[in-house]
Amino acid sequence: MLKIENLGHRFDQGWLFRHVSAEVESGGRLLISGRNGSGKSTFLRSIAGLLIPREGEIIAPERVGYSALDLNVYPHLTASEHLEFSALLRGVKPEPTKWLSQVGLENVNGKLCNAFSTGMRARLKIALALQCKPELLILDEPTASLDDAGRELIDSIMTNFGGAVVYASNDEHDRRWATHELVL
Amino acid sequence: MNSFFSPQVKACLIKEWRVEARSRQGLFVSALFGFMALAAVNFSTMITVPAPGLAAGLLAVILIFVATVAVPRIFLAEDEQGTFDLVRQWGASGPVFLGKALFGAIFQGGAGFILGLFYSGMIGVPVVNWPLFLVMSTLLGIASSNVLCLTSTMVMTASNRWVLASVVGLPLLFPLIFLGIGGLKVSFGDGGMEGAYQSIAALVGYAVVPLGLGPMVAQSLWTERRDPGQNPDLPQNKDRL
Repeated sequence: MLKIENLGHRFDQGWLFRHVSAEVESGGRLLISGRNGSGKSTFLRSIAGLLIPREGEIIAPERVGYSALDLNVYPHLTASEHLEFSALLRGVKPEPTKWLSQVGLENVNGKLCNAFSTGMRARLKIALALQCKPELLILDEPTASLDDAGRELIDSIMTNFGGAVVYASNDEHDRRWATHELVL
Repeated sequence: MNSFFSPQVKACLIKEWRVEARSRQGLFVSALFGFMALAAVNFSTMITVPAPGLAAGLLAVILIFVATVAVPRIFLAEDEQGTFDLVRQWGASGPVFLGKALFGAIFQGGAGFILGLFYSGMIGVPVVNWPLFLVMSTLLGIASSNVLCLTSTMVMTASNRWVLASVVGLPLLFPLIFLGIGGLKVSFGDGGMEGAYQSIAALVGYAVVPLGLGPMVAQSLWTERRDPGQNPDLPQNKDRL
């Protein structure tokens, strides 16, 4: 499913992480933990194909869903328009009603995202990540900024999602889903 | 193969259109700069009517600068507002570039047409060839927009992107001023049609070539490469391991 071999990345100050290897099978939950600035988000961005690592190899499935805390949505589009736009770019069915109801945003249709709270944006990003029916789901701080209902949603995804999940978190409660852990 | 008619390009075009219709950032910036420039030109030419060449030059500069303040935002705003990763994980670079370039071309083509009409009414120099005048105004807006789209794509992942965009854009936009003057002054009655046809042909080239190069440039920059390429054997790097 996902194979990471000898991964390393560096910025101006030097190596952020190096010689990192991991393997996750379908159904596996890989937790990435580490202190602030240890490279958790950079590691996830590398796996998502958004950043070319300085060294190492990543073998990832074709359909990857990615959601991160620092990922923004378009402030002047509605949630449905986001899902329609992403579906056309990815070549999948938009089905905005289905995906919005899955993440508890069924009542925000027509509302622009600049009126969304941080938690609502996080839910929309989860819907966008799930829309392509990914084999691998990458979640950076999945429960940050979410209320209890939002945390239940993440819990349900972590429990029921059939593919592999790689997620970064320092929250002790998020550790319960992990089948493997990688400390950066 | 990227096509202007692919659903991905259409999706990007619609997205840009919706964002602009709701934020009106490009419209306000273009209108503010364009009409301020027209007003300044009008005041300065109230007493003395400029020669056709000067009138053509002023309009060419106004149209190119209107595009300069409005078009780079279409690309650079993605990175600045944090949505670039969103679009990068969803779509191929080619359709995204073409959708944005198409939106910029329509917007600036329209701006060129409208500003040209206002300019002709304010400058005091009679237009003797209206079809040529309107074609040149519109085409200059489109060519400027497409050149700026290419320039913005080249610098979109750089940390000092606005400075780089100016540096890279200047030499690319310079010939457009000469081509714009060459065609527009004929529409004001100075020079023969041969020169105007040459200017139109060259402007069409300037409008089309970026559409071919842009997707390739975007593809090469689609995945981030923000690292300085340091030597991994340096002591300070070993200490981090």
